Amino acid sequence: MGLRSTLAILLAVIVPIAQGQPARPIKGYEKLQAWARSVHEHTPGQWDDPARAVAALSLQDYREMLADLVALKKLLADRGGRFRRYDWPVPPGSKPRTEFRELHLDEVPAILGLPEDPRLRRERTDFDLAVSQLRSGITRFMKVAAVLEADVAIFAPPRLDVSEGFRRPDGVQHYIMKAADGSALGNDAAPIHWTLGSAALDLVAPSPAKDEFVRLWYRATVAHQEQRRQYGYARPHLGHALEVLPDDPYLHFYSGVMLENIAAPPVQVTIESLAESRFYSPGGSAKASLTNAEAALRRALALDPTLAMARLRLGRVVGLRGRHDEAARVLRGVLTSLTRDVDRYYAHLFLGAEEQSLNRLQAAQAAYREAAALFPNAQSPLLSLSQLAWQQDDPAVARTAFLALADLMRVSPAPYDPWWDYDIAPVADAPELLAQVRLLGSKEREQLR
Amino acid sequence: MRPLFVVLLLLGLQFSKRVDVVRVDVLVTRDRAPMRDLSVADFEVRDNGVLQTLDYAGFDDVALNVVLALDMSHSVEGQPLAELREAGHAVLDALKSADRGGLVLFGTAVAPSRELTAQRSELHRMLDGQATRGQTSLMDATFAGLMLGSSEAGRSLLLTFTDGADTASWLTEDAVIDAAKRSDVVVYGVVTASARRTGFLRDIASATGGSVLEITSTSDLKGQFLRLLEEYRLRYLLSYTPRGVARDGWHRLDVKVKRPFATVKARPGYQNR
Repeated sequence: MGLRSTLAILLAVIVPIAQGQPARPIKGYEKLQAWARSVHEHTPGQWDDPARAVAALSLQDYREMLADLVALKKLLADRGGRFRRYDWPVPPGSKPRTEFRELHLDEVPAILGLPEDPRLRRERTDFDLAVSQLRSGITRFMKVAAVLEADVAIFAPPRLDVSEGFRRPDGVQHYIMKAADGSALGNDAAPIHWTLGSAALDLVAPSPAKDEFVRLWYRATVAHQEQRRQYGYARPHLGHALEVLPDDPYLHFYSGVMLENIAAPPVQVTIESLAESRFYSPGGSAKASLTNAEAALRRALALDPTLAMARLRLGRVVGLRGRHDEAARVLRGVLTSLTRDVDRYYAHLFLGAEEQSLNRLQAAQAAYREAAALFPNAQSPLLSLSQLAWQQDDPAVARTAFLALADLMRVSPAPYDPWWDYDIAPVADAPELLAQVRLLGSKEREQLR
Repeated sequence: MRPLFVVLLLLGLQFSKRVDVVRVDVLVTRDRAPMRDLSVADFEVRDNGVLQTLDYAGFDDVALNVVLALDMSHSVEGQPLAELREAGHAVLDALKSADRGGLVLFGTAVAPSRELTAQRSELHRMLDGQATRGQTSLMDATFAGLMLGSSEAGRSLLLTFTDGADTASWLTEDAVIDAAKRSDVVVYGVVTASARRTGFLRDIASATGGSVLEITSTSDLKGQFLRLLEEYRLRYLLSYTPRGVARDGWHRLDVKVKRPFATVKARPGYQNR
């Protein structure tokens, strides 16, 4: 009986707002309100007007909104709290240098375009219930907001005006650099939309760590960043993701993949080129990255021993760290667990290299041949077969493999070697993961209406 | 007598590695100018410390195999690519009728010509047809160049150009340098001053008795390529049948010229098995 009357009261409150009345303006929160309107109006997966409006945010807008979201999180965490006083990020060079503002709980629904609830204003016994309901609304809203922010981060064209350095908690001015073929090409945009998406999901109740949408959002967005080789974005994003979801095997796996890729020449050469300027990279040396990659992959496997792709990667990383016998053991062991041809190709190729390092040349040759059989148009196994035969003083076989390599360039379509995409192979499903997130976001959005 | 020896050399060494005859490519200069009047009697070669008897020393009897390994990766786009093509065409045009040429064009993928050929037109077409693409597979391309250069008898030069560091190879530096030590190919490198991680090219050039030229601009790439080709033509080819040394393993070479102020550049050794 009690529950039924509560629902009835709630409906009575909701109906007028759900019918589309514009939220009342809240002084000082106009930007957040405009953002909230975009959240409500955006169609997940579309580069639409609401997404364009959010893409036009300046760095100062971003700083202010981030401060608002952090304040809201703290306000909701403060049981019984009616308002939160917090530092306001004034633009650089402003006077006074610091400002404060207050976020009142009863104004939050109007700011976010959620149903207003008078119980949040007064000292009432059902205040806690109202807050709980507000948390549910905010949770739904923030999931939709995270989908919007991911869409903006993915679809928005690069904006140089948000490429200026941004200060992170370590106090250092950070820049994201674009690079190609080992050369830095200039700054990329600051990762404001990824950060806002994360900040939005920090408000998911009862806990982001227990929410499957949050888990999927992080997996999908990290996978997307790694598929685009956006390690400058992925590194802080993954760092936050692992704070929220410390026991997610896929996030540890993605972390291992990212660190293995950071240790690879395309990234290391770029880092070296920056070292001569005033920049330094927090990315770390190849050696340190490989050490951390191994730890991340082992953590992923401890959480999910069936994650065969993590074991494949672990085999390669261990080999790169000079433990060839162990690497060969891991790679041989994982072969039966791999289902994709491309992963079996990698396993055979890497196993061949490890066997060669161990001077087990026949085993190396057999492994390279297995790789070549899986992808006959790939050049890497042919290069290795030729080099191995040359090493064994067998020029005829070396020549045969070389001719097969030369003939590859005369086939149509152009030859493809999965080795060229090894760095992004584990995140090939990023588009599917994003599609799932958007589908869930669309459902949440329907519930908001 | 000399032509007969060369014929035997051609038959015996086609895509094979030294078994009975060791060939050493040597640059001898005085005051930075190549010396051209040396004979067998002027050279002293030690194989693992054991003095050897030379069968031959000369530079004008054996046709050249010249392989160009050219970086066509993303970073070469624009004017440098045009200059690189011009330089490549110039080298092909400068080959003599008995010489053979080969190409290895590389970005992420490595595209070698199938064989060394005296038919320049085919190579000219290949050079013009390749667009810049992807990253830099310098080590893979260098290995392909070594294989191509070893595919025919004769003196083989691998002239490699890159403006960047290797970012995409499958083969490792050690594997390719090991292959170079087992071949007779001499590697010359041309790198732009902005190129990073040039250690690989320097090491392989050193291991094969070649050298690396660092350039500040690609505007005179043609002139630089032609000068290197000319320098290579004036290197001496020495050959001997090893005596008093074990066949397998690493052979340390020590080449001296019994002339005052002569400077010698030769590979430091070779690997058998």
